[in-house]
Formats: sequence, structure tokens, C-alpha cells
Amino acid sequence: MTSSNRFFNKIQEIKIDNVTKKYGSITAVQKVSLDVQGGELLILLGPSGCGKTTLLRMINRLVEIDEGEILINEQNVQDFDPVLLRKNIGYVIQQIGLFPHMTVKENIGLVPKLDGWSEEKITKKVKELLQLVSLPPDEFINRRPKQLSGGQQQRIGLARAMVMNSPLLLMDEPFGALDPILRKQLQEEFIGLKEKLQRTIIFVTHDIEEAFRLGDRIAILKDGKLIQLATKNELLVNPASDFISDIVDSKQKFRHLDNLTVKDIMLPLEEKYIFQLSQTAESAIKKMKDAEIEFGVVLENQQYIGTIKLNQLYANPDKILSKLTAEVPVFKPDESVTVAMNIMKNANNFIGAVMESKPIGILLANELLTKLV
Amino acid sequence: MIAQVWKNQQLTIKTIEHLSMVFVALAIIIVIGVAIGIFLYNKKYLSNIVLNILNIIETIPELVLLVILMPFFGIGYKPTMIASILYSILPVARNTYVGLIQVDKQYLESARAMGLAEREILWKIRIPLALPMIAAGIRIAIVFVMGVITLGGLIAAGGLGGPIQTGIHLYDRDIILVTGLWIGILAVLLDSIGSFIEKVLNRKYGYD
Repeated sequence: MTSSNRFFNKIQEIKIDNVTKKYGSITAVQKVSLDVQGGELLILLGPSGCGKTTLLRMINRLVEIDEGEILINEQNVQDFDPVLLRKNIGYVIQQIGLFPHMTVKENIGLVPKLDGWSEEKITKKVKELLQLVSLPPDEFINRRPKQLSGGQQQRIGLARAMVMNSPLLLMDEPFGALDPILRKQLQEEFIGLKEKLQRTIIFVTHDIEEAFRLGDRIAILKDGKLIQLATKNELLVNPASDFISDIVDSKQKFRHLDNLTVKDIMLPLEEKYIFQLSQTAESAIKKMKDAEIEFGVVLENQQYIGTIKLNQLYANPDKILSKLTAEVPVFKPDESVTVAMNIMKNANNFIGAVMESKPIGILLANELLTKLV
Repeated sequence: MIAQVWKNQQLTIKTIEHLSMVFVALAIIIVIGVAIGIFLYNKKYLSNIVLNILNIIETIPELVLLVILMPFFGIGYKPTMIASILYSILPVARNTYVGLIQVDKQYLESARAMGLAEREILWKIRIPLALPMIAAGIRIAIVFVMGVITLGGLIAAGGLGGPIQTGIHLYDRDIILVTGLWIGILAVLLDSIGSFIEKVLNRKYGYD
């Protein structure tokens, strides 16, 4: 992008001022005003049909505003050419929308190519981005979307949204279509990425757990109106209405916490998550790909040894699993959840294993929230 | 019998003549048909009327179309080529138009969101993804063109229609059988080439 087409290098503030959008007699967004601060991750949360996606799409003018205005760094988005505006803003959707007729490199490098980057510069940038989203560049750069698992596609989608280095990222339920464990892992990675990148992110979701996990602040919408914009703790402690307290379930949130055991919260260990210690990393990678998972539990003679992650396997495809297995905290099914959570927190681990005489389940830190809320 | 008919009726040269007519006609059909498809995509309000006109042309029996063209273009090569082209533009134009229109929304949305202009979306996304559909239209056109050009033998267009006419007039069973079967084999061959190209395109540009 030539420097004259770069509208902002850093987001100071996005001001959404009294914005309304009508479709015929239906009001999708009604007089919504909110400020997004530079560098924060703001969640737009609400049930489907609440107007959150419409609001998001008005920021890059995929949807035109009927009334009100949106200002980015005090410049009205209406004053920009919409096509150029969108080149300045990254966008990720749930369906990902990777172009099936292009390779990973062509997908990520499409806009740079149209902007006249050299081939070497594109390759370099694509490799850098693949590295960033934990996919080994040489293995993935020439693949086509149908040769990728869901999680890998979503990572490419994210890489594609970041290729122009835009300081603002709009994300519309990017992890919504993934299976729960994979979703958690990508969220986990995304949190790390977010710290590294320091971008301003507006993130749409209907998943309260995801909102609490990723958001710096959360805006809750209902029927096209903004109900409350606050940090998670404020929402829990000071819900603005019954609707909010229902959503965050603040009345009874942790009442039962002390009674819960690990067994209540864990996910049962399915066959697809089980790997053998003597396996090679290569065969484990293949099994994970086939099962579309990115995480596994390693056993030897039915005994639990540890866990493996796909991105670590990629780095060492020649080794056998015994060299790559990491230890995670181990719990008994009847242990108290509160204790287990504390141990996991101190070990800085979001995964734990649950054992009886043999492994029976996986404990995910944030599964607790889902089950409670 | 086969060798004799082949030699007497000069089937080698007639086959070359025939195929060259087919390929020239197809090339023109593809250019015009795809252009009409893209034009209609840009001017959607015209799509109904234009596709209907092409549809009407296609409902005219091939023989009648040839006869109608004769007062304007005489007999032989010219009216036959024009008839085969007019007759086969519809499947190519319609498939191009439909292929461009029905590209999955997720691709269009992500293309738009990353800042592609409508023209770039057309050339980089819509046309490549419409290719399998366009190829299917061309396959239909191949069959039509083979038919019309063979029929052109009736008005001395050249190609393999000639020997067929000769066979009918002389009531020579051998000529009719050998030439007829040969045209059939050629049609099947061309169609399989078309089907192969369609499959390759589908693998490369198809959705799943």
C-alpha cells in the first residue's frame, strides 16, 4: 500500500456515535454509541439478531450507516473510499472464506499482489505470518484450502487479515465453527498473539465464555441496542439490567463451585485423543490431521505419560513422542474443582489430565466457566 | 467395406474439414458466449430478455434455422457456421452468467472485506470459480455444434455431413453406416475431452 493509502498507523480511538441501521421496517442497530480505545480488544456480545455483526460491518462499510457516524481517529469513515478503507482494516469471518482456487500463499498474498508487491516480498511476508500463527511455512505455503483442517484454515484466515499490517482487526465469530477443544487452543494462542501484536481488535461473539476469556471490555447488545459496556468484573458485580445478570448469571455464579468435582467439569477422553509413547511424531501428526485435533494425550501400557501439541510436533517431526511429551497437572475425578483450578493456574497450564486407574478425561480451565454460566 | 468407403468418400480429408469447422465454431461460441455472460453479469436487468432471445433461437429446429439463414447467406459453409454458432451460444452464455452470479457468499464477503474492488472480485474470484460451470456449458455446445455442422451437409457445407447426404441419395447402406458411426465416435470423443477438461477445472477451481 502506498503511504498515501495508509489511513492510520495506530488506532487512537474509534467513536461510534448514535448509529442506526434499518432494513425495511426492521431496525438492526438502534442509536448505538460506544467508544473503542486504541489497543484494546472489545467484544460485541449478544444473541443472534442483536445487531452485533451489522455494527461490526458498518465500521469497514460493508454495511452503510443510515444515521449517526463512525469516526476512526476522528476521521469519519464516510470520508474514505470504501475499498481503500477496507485495505486498512483486517477482517476475519466464521466461514473464513479462503479462496478455494488459490494456494495459502496466493490467499494471503492477494491484496499485496494487487498492490504491486514483489514476489520475494510477498513470500517473505507470508512465511513470517505462517510462523506467527504456528504453521510451519514450508509445509503449508503451497497447500490449497481443502488440504487444511478447520483450525489450520482459521489460522490462515487470521494471517490473511494481518497481511497489510492494519492496526485494526474486525473479527466475526472467528472460532465459532471449531470443535470445543480446538477452539480453546486457538483462543489460547490468540491471546498470546494479541499481546505480541498490540492491535485494536473488535470481536463479535455470542459465546459468553469466549467473551470473558478474550475481551478487555465487553459491549452487550440486545434488539439492536447497546445494553451495557463494561469490563468483565463490572458486568459480574454491577449488571445494568436483569438481562445482563441473566447472561452473566451473576446471581448464582459461583454458588456451587465448592461442591463441584473434577468429574463434573472434565471432558471424557475419546479414542481420537489417545497416542502411544512409542509412536513417531510423524504418525501422530497424521492422526491429528485425520481427526482434526491439535492436542493429544500420550499413554504407555495404558498408563498416562503426558500431553502433546500439534505445533510442537511440527517442529520435530523426526523424533518419537517420548521426547516431545509435556507433563501437565494430573487430578483424580473426585478432587475439588477449586483446588484443581488453583493447581493449574499455578502451573500456568490450561489443560489437566484426569486419572482413575487409567486416564479418563481432560480438564480444561475454562470449561469451568461454560458449565457454570 | 470400411476401407473402401473411407477411401471413396475421402473420409480423412472430410474429417479434418469437419473438425476444423467444429473448432472454429466453438472458438467463436466461447468468445461470444463468455462475453455475453460477463456483459449480462454487469447489466443484470438485461439478463432475462437476452437469455430468453437466445432460448427462442435454440427452440427453432436446426433444419429450420439453416433454411431461414439461406436467403441471407446462401448455401454452404457460411450459413452452417452461423447456424451452429447461434444455436450454441445459449448454454455458454447462460452457464457463464449463472456461474458468476452463484459464487458462494463467503468468498465474496471476504474478498470485499479485504479491499478488493468489484472489478478485481470479478476477475480474481468470480471468473475462476465460475470456470467449471462455463466448461459444462461448453460441453453442451460441443454436442450442438457437431449436430448442426453434420446437418450442414444438406446444404453443401463440407465436412462429414456430405458423405451422409451422398449415402442417403444413393441409398448406400455402407456409406451411411460407416460415416454415421464415425461421426458418433467423434462426438463421443470430443465430449470425453470436454468432460476431462471439466473435471480438471473442477479439481482446481471447484468448491470441494
